[in-house]
Amino acid sequence: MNHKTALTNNIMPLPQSNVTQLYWKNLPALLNPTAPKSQTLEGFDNEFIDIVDYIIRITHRIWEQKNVGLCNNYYAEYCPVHTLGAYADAVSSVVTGTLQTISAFPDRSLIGENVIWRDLGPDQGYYSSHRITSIMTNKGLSEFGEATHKTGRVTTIADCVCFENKIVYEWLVRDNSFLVKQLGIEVLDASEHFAKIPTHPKFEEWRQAEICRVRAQQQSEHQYKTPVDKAVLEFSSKWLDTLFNQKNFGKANVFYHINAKLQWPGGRQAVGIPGIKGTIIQWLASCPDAQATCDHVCAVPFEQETDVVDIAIRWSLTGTFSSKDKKLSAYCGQNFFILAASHLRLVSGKIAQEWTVFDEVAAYANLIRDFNSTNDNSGAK
Amino acid sequence: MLDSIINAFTKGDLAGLNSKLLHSAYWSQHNATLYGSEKLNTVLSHWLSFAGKCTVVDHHTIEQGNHCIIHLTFEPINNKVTINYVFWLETNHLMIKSVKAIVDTVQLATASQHERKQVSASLPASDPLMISDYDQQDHLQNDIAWPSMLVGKHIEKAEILDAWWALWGQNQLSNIDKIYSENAIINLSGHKTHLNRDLLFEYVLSKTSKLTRTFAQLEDIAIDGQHVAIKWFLDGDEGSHKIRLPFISILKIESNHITNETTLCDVLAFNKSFPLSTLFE
Repeated sequence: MNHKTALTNNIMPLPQSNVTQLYWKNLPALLNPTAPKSQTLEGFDNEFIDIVDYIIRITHRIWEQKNVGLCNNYYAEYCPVHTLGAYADAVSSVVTGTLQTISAFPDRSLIGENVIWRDLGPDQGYYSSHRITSIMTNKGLSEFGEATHKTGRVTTIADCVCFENKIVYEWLVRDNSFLVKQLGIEVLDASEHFAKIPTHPKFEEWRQAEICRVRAQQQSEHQYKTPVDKAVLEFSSKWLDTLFNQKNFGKANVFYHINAKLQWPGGRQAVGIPGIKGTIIQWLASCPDAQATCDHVCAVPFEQETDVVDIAIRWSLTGTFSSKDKKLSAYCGQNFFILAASHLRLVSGKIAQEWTVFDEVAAYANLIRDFNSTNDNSGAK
Repeated sequence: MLDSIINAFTKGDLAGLNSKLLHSAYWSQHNATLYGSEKLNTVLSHWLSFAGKCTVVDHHTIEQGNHCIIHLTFEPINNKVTINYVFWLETNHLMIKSVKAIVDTVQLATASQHERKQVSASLPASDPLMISDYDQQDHLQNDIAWPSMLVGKHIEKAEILDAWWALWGQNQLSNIDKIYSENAIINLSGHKTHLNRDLLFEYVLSKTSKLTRTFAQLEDIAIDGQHVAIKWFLDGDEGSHKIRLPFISILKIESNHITNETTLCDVLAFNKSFPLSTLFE
């Protein structure tokens, strides 16, 4: 990486530890760790050496080894799981969802790209933000429609609270618009199909409450006591506030290196500040009064490099949908809501690489559901 | 790394190269990014089905930090036409994390005696890239990357690299005569033979004159002795369509002049991704 900028934004090296780092480790080494325990992991099975090891190995067992029933071991019986398109809180729903996904995508392989974590203390366990690249072939009916028999890849970020060997809370975001494009499905067609799937009664309750909360710029109720590095927290809040709330894109150079790389949903890719500004501007133009909240931040050092930090940010955004796209024009004026997660790799205090994930298919499906619901209630057909 | 790549691409030693790739590694080529167990199969089976068994007639490696750039010139055993292939590896010198590769697909079609459209049709589907429109002007913000900003102004080659970059970044064609030695050997994608400075002038012009709102973006630079590798892309408007053309350039700089350059882009993959483009007509 060529990033010759002096230390900026006051991001100082985070405390080093021996917790597993994924980047240069091969899968066999990750599945058979030999290092001694590096975290206390109170209440976790003794085989796990740290929270990263726990996340990587349970994911492999459930998805690659197809031990779907292990969800019963590694998820709490009551485990709220939020996605932008659905809600579930029973472990049986997690089993059902996993089984249906494997049925539709039988060769789905999950590649762990990074796990950014936070110790929440002995009463609350650990927070993990797991970025995954999945490769999968669509061989059966899925939430997007009939089987297309095409292979695609998708980035997912799963933010989980893990307590005593179980996942007890999860926010899951997947770049489904990028996936469906590879499967040969129009994003809006996938959204229309998705919108027909009935949702849990609590889903709408949660979504409406989140829209009100974000509009009022209130913090998420999910706050944890253990401290997060002050400079990391400040950088993350300012990044979101400057670009998404204030929309001062001229300040992008405060946050990004001149050759920073950005991956955004739907295949949006940019390198360099002009392209990054353009990506955010073009996307925000469909929701010009958008307001965002920074809901959770955690950070870990990258490998043993002293000036490289990985930050995971979970954030939400809402505003009035105002797309200029003709196909989406019917939904203009409605509430638009996004549940998003970003992984940022900072080198010398500025972003060298960004992966931002949210589900555009679900976001549009929610617009369609709202539109249909309003028109049904008004008697319009 | 070099041996593993040579053995894979000349003899089909897939296992040897696979053993050097991390499970999480990806291979990016032909405007597609491939992960998982099939990635190397896809790349190698395509290459071998066209190039067949071949030999390496020239090779060069540039290493800086975790970057390892390997430039191989292949010659199929049944056809004396060379094919340029560049592999930009991210590696810790034990394992490979990622590969960004560009092969000259026009040379591949010629060397394999196939129609370009046959080679093109067999390329993997390109990723659904979405290039958001943006303001390509700097407006005195100093936001646009120049080589000296990435490698440091104090580096000996910074000035000549900036002058080279001005060719593409600012259409500063007059720099050609200043920075290339008179007998510089220049290899550009799609050409069977070396070009001279005058033909480079025409090549740059043939691309930039067809585009408006052109913008060249540097991704990475690696310097190793006299050699410099540069990963970059050219964006521009072709009529109402936005195009993106990724390049890898390898320069040899001696006595403050470029004496050798190979600049590769994947013409057939580009034409497949942007079927309305006339950039390479």
